[in-house]
Amino acid sequence: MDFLDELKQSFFQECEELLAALEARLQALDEGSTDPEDVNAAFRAIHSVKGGAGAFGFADLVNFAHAFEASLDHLRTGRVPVQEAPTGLFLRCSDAVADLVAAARNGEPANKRADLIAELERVGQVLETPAKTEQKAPELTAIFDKLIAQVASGTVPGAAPEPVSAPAEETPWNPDDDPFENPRPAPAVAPPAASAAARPAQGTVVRIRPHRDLFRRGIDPRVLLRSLEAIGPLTITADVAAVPSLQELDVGDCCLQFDVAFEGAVPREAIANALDMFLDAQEFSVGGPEGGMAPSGAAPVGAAAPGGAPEVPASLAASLAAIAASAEASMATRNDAEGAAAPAAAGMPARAANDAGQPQRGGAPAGRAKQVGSIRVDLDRIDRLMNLVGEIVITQSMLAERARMLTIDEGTKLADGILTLTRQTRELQDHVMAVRAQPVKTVFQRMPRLVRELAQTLGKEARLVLSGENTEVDKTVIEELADPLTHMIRNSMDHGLETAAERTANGKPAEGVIHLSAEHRAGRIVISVADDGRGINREKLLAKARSKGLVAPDARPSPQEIDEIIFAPGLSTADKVTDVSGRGVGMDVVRRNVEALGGRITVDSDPGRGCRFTMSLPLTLAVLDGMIVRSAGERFVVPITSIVETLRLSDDTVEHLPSGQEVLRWRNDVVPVARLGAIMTDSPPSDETVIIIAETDRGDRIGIAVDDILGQQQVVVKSLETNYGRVTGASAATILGDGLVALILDVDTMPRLAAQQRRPLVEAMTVNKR
Amino acid sequence: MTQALNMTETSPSAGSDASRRIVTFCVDERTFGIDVQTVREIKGWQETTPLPHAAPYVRGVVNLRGVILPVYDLRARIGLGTTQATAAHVIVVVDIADRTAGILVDTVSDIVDVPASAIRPTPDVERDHSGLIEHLALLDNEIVALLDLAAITQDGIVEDASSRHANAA
Repeated sequence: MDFLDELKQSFFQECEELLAALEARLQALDEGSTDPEDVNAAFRAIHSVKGGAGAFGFADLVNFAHAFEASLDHLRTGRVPVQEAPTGLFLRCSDAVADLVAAARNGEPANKRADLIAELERVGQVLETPAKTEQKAPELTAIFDKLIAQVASGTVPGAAPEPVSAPAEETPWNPDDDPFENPRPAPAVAPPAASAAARPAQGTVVRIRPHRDLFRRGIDPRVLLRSLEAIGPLTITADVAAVPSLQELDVGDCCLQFDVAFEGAVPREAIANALDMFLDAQEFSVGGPEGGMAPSGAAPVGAAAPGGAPEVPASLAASLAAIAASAEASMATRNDAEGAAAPAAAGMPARAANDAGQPQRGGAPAGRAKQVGSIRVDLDRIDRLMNLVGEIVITQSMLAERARMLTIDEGTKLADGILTLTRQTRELQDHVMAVRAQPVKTVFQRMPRLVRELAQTLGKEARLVLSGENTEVDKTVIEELADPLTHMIRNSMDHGLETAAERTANGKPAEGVIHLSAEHRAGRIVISVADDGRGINREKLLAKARSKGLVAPDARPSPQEIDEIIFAPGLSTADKVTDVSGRGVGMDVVRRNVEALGGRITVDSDPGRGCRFTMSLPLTLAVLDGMIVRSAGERFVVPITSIVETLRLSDDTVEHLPSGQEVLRWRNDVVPVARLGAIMTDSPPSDETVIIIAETDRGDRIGIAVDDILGQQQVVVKSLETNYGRVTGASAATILGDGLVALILDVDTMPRLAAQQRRPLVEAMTVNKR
Repeated sequence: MTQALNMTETSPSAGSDASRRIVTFCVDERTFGIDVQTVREIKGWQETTPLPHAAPYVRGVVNLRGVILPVYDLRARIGLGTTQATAAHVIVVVDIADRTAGILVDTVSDIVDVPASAIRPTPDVERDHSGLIEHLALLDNEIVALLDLAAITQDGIVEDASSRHANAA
């Protein structure tokens, strides 16, 4: 990958974050927030996307982002009250930006979304007087026309080959290297700006000296100038002194500079606010009668007076100039403020001071300091770190095991150290995990809009309630969550919720509610989508499944089993195929996605009252607390979080159902028993004497019968899929202190495996029963 | 890479033209070979953790420096019964596409250069090992069966628990 590609990649990564931020802020506005910071942050996000896109030449993205930004700007400037913000449009636009970013990333042609751009352009227009709009455009056009005319007629100083353009060639570009303040160029044609500055300064003067990459940053100078026009009446003068001859002109460079003279005094903050989204602080300066400005004739203030105190004695300025002159050779390459300010003092002593850049410069870092510092790190590196932590955990349990072999005296001493090590390792691990963890919010917050849009498409009334958005899960899992969640919500909206009329007729509130929640349970993240709709129509589903040959005609599946049919491939229960779901992409795909992540999905339906899909996913790379058990000579790890209780089995507590299934009476409950040895090894069922009562994701209880409990320890989850594949009954493997591998039990599959184990018997006995 | 190795280590008679470097090993007096490039390392036998619902030739998994490595019993795979593994047995750790696997064999015998001209397609009579043997290499004193590693590790997972019992019966 070459350097540019790397840059692009990091731009796209950044885009993801920016888009998430954008969406969150727009979401907040949509929910009624009037916090200006929401507007500003949204604006900053789209502005950064635009800037980056400009740098890489993603023209469609720049265009769109630009329109979006301009429209958001109306909110910032208060031209459109925040309360009246078209947040629906903005949310759709943020989608469109995501699409454009994706298109750019995949190098695909993008939909330019001219429709949305048109809508965006209408924002704020309504509030402007048409006359004003008309008046502006010609004014700006005139400036550019004039500029073109100047370039064409050769009256531009740069167009003359020799003396004037020479310094521009020799001197590396310097943001502070203002040709007007530089003593060397002595333009033959007095630049318009100079005459503007020569006029008695009545109003605030803004000098815009953009960096040459302005266009490449995706910034249109006209936008800049318009943003200033919004502040008050002004005169704009284009300064073309820096435009080189046509032969030397790179059309990608911005050589234009502007002087903007306001008719009255304008607060510096207003100008800075309008410009700092487009320009760096050193690219523009504010002068003229405005608070804190130096009187005409004072030496320009450099970084020496960052607070804006302009009282620099002329003598000091002069000596600075002398020093500067003597060090001119080095000056050319220096990029700091003093370097540029000093020759300015020497060359243009009478110029109005222009220290606006300085306070601005002082202000910017202060603003940034509010953000928490962050760096971008490859996931790979964190993975390696995590693996290493895993190794340490294994080594540590190995040490603990060795310590047990020592004499009591030596062992105790060592045990203290190991205890400390254990604590520290755990802490280390938590921190490394935390680095990778992200709240599910990043995915959840995309869903309210989905629901809104679907509600509109389907003509239903629905509300999405989120809970547990701050539940953290590994970044890799987050990325994989979006698709299944979208499908599940579509499914609930399309098949689950009834129309308002139908709901009212059934005595339900017209508005349906979908509850999306996340929580940590049993070392996994459990995400559920629950609706209060009609639930699964089992008769219809079963009939459908029979007609498709998914269920044998004579089979009598239980209600639960019928509900599970919803995950069968190629099934759609909607009466007609809709745009929303039922185009062959159904819950079977969701199940496949979830299982590919090492997760599981289940459904619980209550006809007439609603339906709940629950998916449980591993927190990848997790380390879990496990109980080490032995059965049939093999060791297994049972995640502590799923264990409810352990008890010793006496013969009279286990009973046999007619089906052959062993059950256990436990606290007024009947719990099926899974004989671990028989399920997980080839051994025949034996009389294991220890029972671990465990709870599955669905809340079912299962009694896992084992020979012995060996202990409890933290284990590192190691994938079996990497080199082998899925192992029924095990969610993963781990390495124990002796270096050998043990399987981590997948408690959720135990009830099924226990039943399967008895299956032949069940079939034999149910023939008579039915 | 291969050529460089040829120059430094082996008899010039093998010839450098398109010869393949093969690791040979024995199972039940028979000689098998795999491309040296696929071999990651060779390690002594270590106790495996059996996996449920797996074919009989899946011996289980071992810990290879923190990675879970499945071990396949070549003897069982070619239908000669489960290896009674001892400390003398060897696990050849190989790369198969993007996976790593261990192949349990009796002994590793040699590394040989086989000229392209000595490599023949598998004759039809080689029926038992259904697709396991990719080619035969005719050496001076013996015939080496070159294994298709992907075929060896295929179908290790028995999807349904009941079919496992059916197979065992």
